[in-house]
Amino acid sequence: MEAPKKPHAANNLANDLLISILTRLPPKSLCRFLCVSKSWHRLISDTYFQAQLPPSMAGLFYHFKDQDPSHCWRINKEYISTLSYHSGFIDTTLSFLPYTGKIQILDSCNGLLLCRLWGSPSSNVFICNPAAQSWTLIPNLKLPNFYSLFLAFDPQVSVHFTLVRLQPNRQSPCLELEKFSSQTHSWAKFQVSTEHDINFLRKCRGVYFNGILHLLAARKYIVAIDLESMVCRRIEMPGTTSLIRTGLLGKSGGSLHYAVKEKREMKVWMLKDYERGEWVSKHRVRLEVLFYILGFHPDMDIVFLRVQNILMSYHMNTGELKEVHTLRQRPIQYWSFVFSPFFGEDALANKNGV
Amino acid sequence: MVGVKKKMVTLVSSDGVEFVVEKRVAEQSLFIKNALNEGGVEEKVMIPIPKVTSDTLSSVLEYCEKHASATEFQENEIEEWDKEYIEKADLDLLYYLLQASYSMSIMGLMELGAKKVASLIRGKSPQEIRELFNIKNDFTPEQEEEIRREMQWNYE
Repeated sequence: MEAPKKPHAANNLANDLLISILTRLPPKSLCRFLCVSKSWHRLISDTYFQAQLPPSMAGLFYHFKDQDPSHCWRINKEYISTLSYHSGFIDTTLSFLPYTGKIQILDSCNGLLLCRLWGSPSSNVFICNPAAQSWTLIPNLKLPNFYSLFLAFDPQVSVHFTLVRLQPNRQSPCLELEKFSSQTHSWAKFQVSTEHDINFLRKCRGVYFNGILHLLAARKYIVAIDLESMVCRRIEMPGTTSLIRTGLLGKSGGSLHYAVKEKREMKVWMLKDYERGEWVSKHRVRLEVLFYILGFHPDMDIVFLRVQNILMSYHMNTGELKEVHTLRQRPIQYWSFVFSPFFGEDALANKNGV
Repeated sequence: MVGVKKKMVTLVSSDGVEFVVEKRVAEQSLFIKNALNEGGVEEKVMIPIPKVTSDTLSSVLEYCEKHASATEFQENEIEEWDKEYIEKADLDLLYYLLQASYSMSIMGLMELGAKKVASLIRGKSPQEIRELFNIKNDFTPEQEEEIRREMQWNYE
């Protein structure tokens, strides 16, 4: 073989590329290459001893409604990557789904998305995983109102997901809960006692973690439903004067967070003691712009905001407000979903290309 | 189907050369596919490919073209083709292809390139690796000696 050239291109091979090369080497070669340089030593040690962890958040799905030229309402979907590096092979256009037409995302939970076909019969509700490009259709679902559907999936506990449909009972202080599990592949009905009347906000977003679904109820508290025992608990909201509808519930760093907009001030609270229901004020900032709260970063102290048609990240540690992406237009009605990719095994029936 | 106009897109390399290719070929790249879909409209047909030069892009598109019609071939036929394709790339092009496949999200090409580079370097010495990748040894002789000792512990 000729003497190897020194291509300058090799200088800037991204770490991800080097990792994908290194993971194809036998351990003996890898070990020998430990002394190539400090950066190779670090990379090989990491590659060798750690699993390749996916990022805790890859981006946001963003929906908005507008009117087509004939003044019919239509739904638009945009995906905004929040990674500073390449987000890998995640099909965020959802083109692996065997459906034509507009897909509307209803919920997002630890890598899985709950979706429906826009403007089609209610039976077409499905769960998909954009990282694994897998999906499954939910059987026997006839719903008058989609917004009472919640997705619960925790890959650290089980490969199976749970779909929850909620309806308040008008006669007694309890909830009608229907649960679909991918394990049993069937629906089951429960009555969950809430002790008090519950009014959910329309399009209320659920936050699932530790086996419990958390929902903002209209009267200044959170309803926490344990999806195994079906025990329902109330968590008082932190002291705030504003209407709850300007607030957002989310999960960050393993704790429940609540952000609320009061005029031009944003207040962020964290549920410090879950058992006792003790909130602490985490951050307060007066932003000299009109903003809307979109979501929490699952790991870092970041809140995503929309300012006019710009998606921004607010960093609580530094007080910085950074521009992430310019949205196509300033919407009237919009929804956003934080997306954390999950590359592991899921229980979705259809795998792309299989 | 006779008379059906194929959807075309124009890709612009970093040095400004335009490549007009079929949409289905360009969509082998998830980066382009996402860009096309996020545009949401049919009119968006000019896509800049930053950091990929025309030489590299033309080679990348050769790969995409073949794989866009992969269903027409036997599986081993594609495998053979891949092998020849990556075999004829010199080391420079190989690195450029890897970078392009990474920035353009072409999973198959990235795997192909990574496999090829891995096969080229597996038997090499650390010094040969430094030359191949143009890496400076930033260890002191003592540090290097210590790592070598640890290695022997594991592999002698």
